[in-house]
Amino acid sequence: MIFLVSDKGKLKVAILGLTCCGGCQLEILNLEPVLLDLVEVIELVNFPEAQSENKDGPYDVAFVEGSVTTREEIERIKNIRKESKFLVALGTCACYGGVQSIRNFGDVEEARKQVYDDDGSHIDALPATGLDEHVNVDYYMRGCPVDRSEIVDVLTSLLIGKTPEPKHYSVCVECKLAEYACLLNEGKLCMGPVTNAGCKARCPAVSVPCDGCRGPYDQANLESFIEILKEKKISVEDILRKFRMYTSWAPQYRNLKVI
Amino acid sequence: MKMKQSIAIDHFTRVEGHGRLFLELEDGEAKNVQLSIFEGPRLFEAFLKGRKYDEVPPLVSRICGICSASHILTGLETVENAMDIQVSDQTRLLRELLDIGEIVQSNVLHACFLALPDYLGAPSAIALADNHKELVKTSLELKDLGNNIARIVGGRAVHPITTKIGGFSKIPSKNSLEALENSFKNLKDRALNLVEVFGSLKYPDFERETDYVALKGDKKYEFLDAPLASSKEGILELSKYKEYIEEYTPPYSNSKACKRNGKGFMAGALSRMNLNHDLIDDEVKSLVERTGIEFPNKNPYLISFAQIIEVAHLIKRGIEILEELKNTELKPEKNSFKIKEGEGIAVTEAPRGALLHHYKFDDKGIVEYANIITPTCMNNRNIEEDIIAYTPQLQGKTEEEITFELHKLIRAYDPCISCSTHTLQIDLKSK
Repeated sequence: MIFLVSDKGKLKVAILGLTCCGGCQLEILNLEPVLLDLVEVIELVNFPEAQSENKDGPYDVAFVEGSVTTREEIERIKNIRKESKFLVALGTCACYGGVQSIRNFGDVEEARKQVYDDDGSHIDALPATGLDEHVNVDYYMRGCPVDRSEIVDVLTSLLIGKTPEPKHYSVCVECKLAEYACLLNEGKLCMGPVTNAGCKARCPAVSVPCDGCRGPYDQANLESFIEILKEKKISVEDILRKFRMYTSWAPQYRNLKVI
Repeated sequence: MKMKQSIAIDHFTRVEGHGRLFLELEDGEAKNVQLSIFEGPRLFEAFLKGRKYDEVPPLVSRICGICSASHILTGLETVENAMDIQVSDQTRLLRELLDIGEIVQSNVLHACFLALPDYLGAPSAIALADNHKELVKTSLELKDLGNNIARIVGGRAVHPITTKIGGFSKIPSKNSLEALENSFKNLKDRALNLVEVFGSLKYPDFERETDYVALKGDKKYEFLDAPLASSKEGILELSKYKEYIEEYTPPYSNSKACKRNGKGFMAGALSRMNLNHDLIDDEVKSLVERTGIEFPNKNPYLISFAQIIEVAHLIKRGIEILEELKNTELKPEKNSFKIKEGEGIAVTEAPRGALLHHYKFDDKGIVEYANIITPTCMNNRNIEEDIIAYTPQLQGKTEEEITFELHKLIRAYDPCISCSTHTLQIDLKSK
């Protein structure tokens, strides 16, 4: 639906960051040597983390990592949106708010005081949210961190004028295809059944239950899932905490009650 | 009449995160310097409260994408200290290997991709590739090696997965470790050659003595398992860290900064090198001697050089570890332990310097208190003091030149803004 191959030459790409750990941009830097091939067809017009000569928009595609956590960032993301034809929320922080949105469940002002004592009154700390609380997002690239192969897939799609298509199934599908042992069957709190696929079940692959970092997939049956967890004698506190790890501010999880 | 000038670097580039520098000069002397980190605050220490002990390492990993393994390893050690959990030699070796992967990856990323363009007159490492293809290729391969270690030992390049309290959830296969050993051996000569390349760069002529703080090894150059020490005061007792590290929040920054005895101090590769240079691998040591640069050294620009010396040293240490692992039968471990009330403090060397974690847990293993001091916070004040000392040397230069030089100085520290709030930006304006 979106035609992006620029008739004026290379695709103009910006890679920008808001508040986060920087790990998703690092996954882009980790794309080398593919990155060196990519710059043949894209122009990195703005990538402050990697280069010192940067220009403002307009951009064909902007990849923005990080959550929105300050008033200044709200303005920044609105400007980036205006300057970009296609906006990719890069990573779980940009999609949902990330781990720092755990603070949204308490008093953020209190949390600020706790961390910075009394001398931090100048620090602006809002509840941490994904980009789409403030602007429209064209593609959600989930994961904490994102899977670098998805970055290439998305750019390739855009270069050939195709809309990148997200996966509409859960991590369990990828886990079963890879024939990993089911950790939920072993009584472990694995978020696979309700979590967006695309990571190739990376955690179950090394015998670690899924932490749900890619967020709830669109048809996730949360009610049944929670019932199953309770049948496995997993405590309500443990269940609730698990939903409040990486994507606690996802609309489906925000007001989740586990009783 | 006094000449007044203010310099601001509005958004640091080739630095992880968002920061800026504001500097007021009077007759070429720095009157006011503010290193300000404006990346949004994340408030980890607050939201960790109420989390369960085993969620701490994966959560703190998210403080920083570049040094996620260091945060995990420090988090694990802190929890293990608090609950008296012992780990096996196998776990210790694999953790050291994982850590080598991160230090190599991060040091190469900083020295070769973020700092080196300053010395070779290029705006980015991508531009560097035009004239220095082999150098860029070696750097890429080294960085890739670091990432491969993380993938094989940790399950993923950024935010490792296998690292659990008491041991690893999955042990790497013999084949994958053998493949790693081959990559180490293939890259060894080229890594050693980088010592020569970085030893011959023209570093700015600037020296300022400060307090160098790092882990100090006894028999070995240590990143994980050694006491914290200061060049001025010797070994520092970890349990009393609040007495000798003063954390404060400057009114112009979202990042805390630290002082010791009322002054800035330095953490990071140069501090490690200044305290531990005699423990560097012999072959690497003789290469360093040939460059004519000596340690201890007071020039902060040599942080990049120290990072590269560490890379060469760690490639050799990595080969030793892999040879040892080859001769050991690696087996999956189940470490059972009892959750108990307790308090743990641990300090390790993250790529950018000493990283301290401190937690208290209740009898159900729930976090009651968390405090984390990152190397960038430790370095913030020292960078400001360096700028104050350096600016008189820049008299007579144009604004553009001053900005470039200060940017280069800040970049030399490899500040990691995600870690400190966790960002950098410079803006130079004349009044």
